[in-house]
Amino acid sequence: MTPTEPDDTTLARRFAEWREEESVRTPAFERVVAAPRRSRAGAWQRPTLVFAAMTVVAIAIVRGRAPSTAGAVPEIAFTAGTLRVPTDFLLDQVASVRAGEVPTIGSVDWYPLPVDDAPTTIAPRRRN
Amino acid sequence: MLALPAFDLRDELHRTHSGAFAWAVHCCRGDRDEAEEVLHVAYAKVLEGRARFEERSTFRTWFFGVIRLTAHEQRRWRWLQFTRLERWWQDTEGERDDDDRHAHAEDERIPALRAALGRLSRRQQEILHLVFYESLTIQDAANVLAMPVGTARTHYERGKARLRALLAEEPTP
Repeated sequence: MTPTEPDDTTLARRFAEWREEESVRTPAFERVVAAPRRSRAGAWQRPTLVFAAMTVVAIAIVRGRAPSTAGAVPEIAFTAGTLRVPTDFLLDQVASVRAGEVPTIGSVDWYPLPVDDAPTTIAPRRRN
Repeated sequence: MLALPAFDLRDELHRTHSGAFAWAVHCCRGDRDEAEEVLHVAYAKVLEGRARFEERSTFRTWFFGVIRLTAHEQRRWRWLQFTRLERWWQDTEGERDDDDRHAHAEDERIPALRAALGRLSRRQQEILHLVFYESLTIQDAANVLAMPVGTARTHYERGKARLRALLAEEPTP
């Protein structure tokens, strides 16, 4: 042990000083038994309420910023008669073929034979 | 079975109050408000019979163990209750307790001792506090901390050596 090192007695004395200083600050026994300061003040309830209020406000802000969908008209409506798809022109051509009409090759309105006249079987190609 | 009648229990608690509060402050890492609450809960446990003294050790040793366990329980509970927010509230509230008024008056040697103690391991702090501050034997301190006496002695010797070294480093006035 070097001369500058406090021995056990010195340590004990320093702790005793600390104890003496603390004893002045010790709350009264009866007070602690009755209720601690924190509980008396109900302090634990207030931050909980603050937290709840902050949560409600945050939710309100988030919901306020989000675009509302109430009353908005959807851009795509599947209403009978108005639905248009890219292959609709095929249906139009079928409808445009009339009985007795002979389509000309190269015509825009050309359409193959009616379905009823189409061959039911297709002869397989023969390979040489 | 209660070893002591209720009125004796209260007297015993009153007798150990000062040391019990200091130990509670230590278990609460210096938070005096929290220590007060922990001590209140510990007193309630004893007086309501939820913690029973069975005379396996001295009353003081047993009660210090109760305080330590209560502090651990309270810390877990407090974490669930958003302690940080609570502390923030209290800090902003500017609520100054009477105890703080004495803070400026304390000897410079005491903060130095506390600071040096704070640099030790948790176990070393606990054992030195119990032995030097509370004047418990190493055996009793080991009982409070629920550890074998050999382990307690090791923590005590190492902690004491380190504390001496740290205090020797402090500048002399």
